[in-house]
Amino acid sequence: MDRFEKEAREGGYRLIAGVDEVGRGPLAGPVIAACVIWSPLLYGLDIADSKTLSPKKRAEIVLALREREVVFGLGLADREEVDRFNVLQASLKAMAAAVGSLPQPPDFLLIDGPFIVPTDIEQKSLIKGDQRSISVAAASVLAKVVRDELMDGYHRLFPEYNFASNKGYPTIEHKQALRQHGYSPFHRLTFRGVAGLRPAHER
Amino acid sequence: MSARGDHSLGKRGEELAVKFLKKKKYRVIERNYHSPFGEIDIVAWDGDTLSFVEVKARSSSNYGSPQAAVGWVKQGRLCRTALDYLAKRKITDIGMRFDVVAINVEGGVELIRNAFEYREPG
Repeated sequence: MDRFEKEAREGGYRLIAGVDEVGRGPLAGPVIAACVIWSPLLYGLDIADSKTLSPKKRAEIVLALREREVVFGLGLADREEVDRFNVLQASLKAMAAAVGSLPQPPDFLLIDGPFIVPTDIEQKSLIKGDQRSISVAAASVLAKVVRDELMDGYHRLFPEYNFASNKGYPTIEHKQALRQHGYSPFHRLTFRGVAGLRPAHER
Repeated sequence: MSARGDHSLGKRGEELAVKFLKKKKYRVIERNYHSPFGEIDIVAWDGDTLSFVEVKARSSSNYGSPQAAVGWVKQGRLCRTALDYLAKRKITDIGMRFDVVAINVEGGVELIRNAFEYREPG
């Protein structure tokens, strides 16, 4: 899980960070990105691709990362930005924001997926990076936990969509609720399944 | 969280921060200073040191408490803006510092003195 990190280290880079984002597919909520500095602190926590971990395990990992004071940054692109640009541009912006929110600039980035993050920092994108790089995997877990937490908060404001369970993703139940109630302020108006609907009643 | 967000929340946060700083014996001399590089929320004397203060709203959630009070990108912008300020106001030969006032959703206020070191704007 750290081949690419070690390669970068051997290439003379000193502050190496993994970057990942979550939330491109949902009909509601922001894209959240995380950037995690690679260090010995990431080991021994069973960090893996967030999609393969239970919510409980993900929460444990995030707690451990915080306790160990692993250095990380977070970035957000809200649904307005997703609608105004597009979800790809919004994701890149969230990733750049995550990198920029670190206490100091990394000198090498490992990025999940086929992305090029808009920054001058040297970078390498890794297909399935969250399965191949421990720092990218850690970023995927952090982004996932943070985004889920936000969606749980939106659920308390708009329980009819059941964001707590679907996290904004297009489940049958979610699409049905959209047709029945209209869209909430958290929905992406340019997405199929939301576009053309009416707004939910003010409360 | 993005600084854009809720403008009125930002304004209220700044009011709280100014009050808090006055209690800490800071002498506020400027608010919302704009330069081509960015904005500084508050400029204040703390004794004979000039403090450039960034006001941050913090939520109590995971999202709101990343490690850096101010990330390196913003640090660079604040440093450039501070230099611009000193030049425009013709202030020389002083000690300066960057502080952060963090305000959480419950209204708790925290002062982080010397939140980051001056870095040469790159």
